[in-house]
Amino acid sequence: MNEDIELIDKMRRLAAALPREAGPEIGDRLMAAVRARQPRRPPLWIYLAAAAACAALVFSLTLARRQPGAADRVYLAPGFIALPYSQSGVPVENAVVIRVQMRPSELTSMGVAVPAAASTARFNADILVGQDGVARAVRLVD
Amino acid sequence: MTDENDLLKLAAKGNETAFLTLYQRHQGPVFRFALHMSGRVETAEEIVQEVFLALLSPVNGFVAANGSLQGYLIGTVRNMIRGHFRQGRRFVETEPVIAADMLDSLSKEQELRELHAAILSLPPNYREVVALCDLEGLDYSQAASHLGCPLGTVRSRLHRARAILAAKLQKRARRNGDGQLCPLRGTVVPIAKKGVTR
Repeated sequence: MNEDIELIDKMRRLAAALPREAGPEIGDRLMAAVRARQPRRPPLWIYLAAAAACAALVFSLTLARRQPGAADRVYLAPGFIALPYSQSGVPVENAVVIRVQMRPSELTSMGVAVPAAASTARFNADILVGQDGVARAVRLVD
Repeated sequence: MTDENDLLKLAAKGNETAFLTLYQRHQGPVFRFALHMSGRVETAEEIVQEVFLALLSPVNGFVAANGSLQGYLIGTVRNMIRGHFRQGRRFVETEPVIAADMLDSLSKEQELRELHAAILSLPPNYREVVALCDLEGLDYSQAASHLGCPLGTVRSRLHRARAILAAKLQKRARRNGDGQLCPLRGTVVPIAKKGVTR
């Protein structure tokens, strides 16, 4: 038992005599490894370029809203009323006018004002059809 | 105390303060255990570096529910020591690692060197318990937790290790008494394939 105590005492002295910690260069190397893991911020010019791109986009969208499309303003002859949801981006270059007979309800749905007295009669109307086959406008003939 | 798991997550993302806290808290015990197992300061430092680098990895394998971080680090050191042995690296004490300025006399220095050499010559199973219980001052239950073995195993291994050490030192004393000076050197003992549990 005494031998054990003596041995343990010696081992404690040995532990005290041995180096207690790793050298500071180990900590430095590890800290460098930690720093390398930090997420890097993109350089300033990337932020500036992104801001410039956003500004250009907003400007072009604003400009596009202010200037009506070519198809909207050019090809509607006098008396024609543009049909809703039919103004595509394709400009009307070779339009065809088709005369049809339409019910008052159909004309009303196209935005053409029809006299209330003639609710059952059929009306002659001209439909302006673009070269893409899409009806663009309508005109009441009578 | 901030939860070590949180510190670990922060450190893995590059938070220097979190890593420094963990490093300062654990590098001493990790270094000393590696030193007691390898017998070389350079090897122990190399292991400390590897252990903490592995800790920074997002897939480091530490699960707080399975035990303490220190236990996990000690387990990692044991695996690395085994790996070093498998790769054929030899742990031979080339320079005395005992600080001479802390010793009263040459005879005491010689005595401690002999003890150190005797510890390094122990089988790794025994060396581990001596390192943790006698050199580091952990109690049996802490050592058992770190080594992943039952408390009784730690107790019996320590008892056996002390008996081996006492026998070696007595043998040395007898030789010295006969005037046959033959300084003990750190002897390489491969990690036993059986009995090392974690």
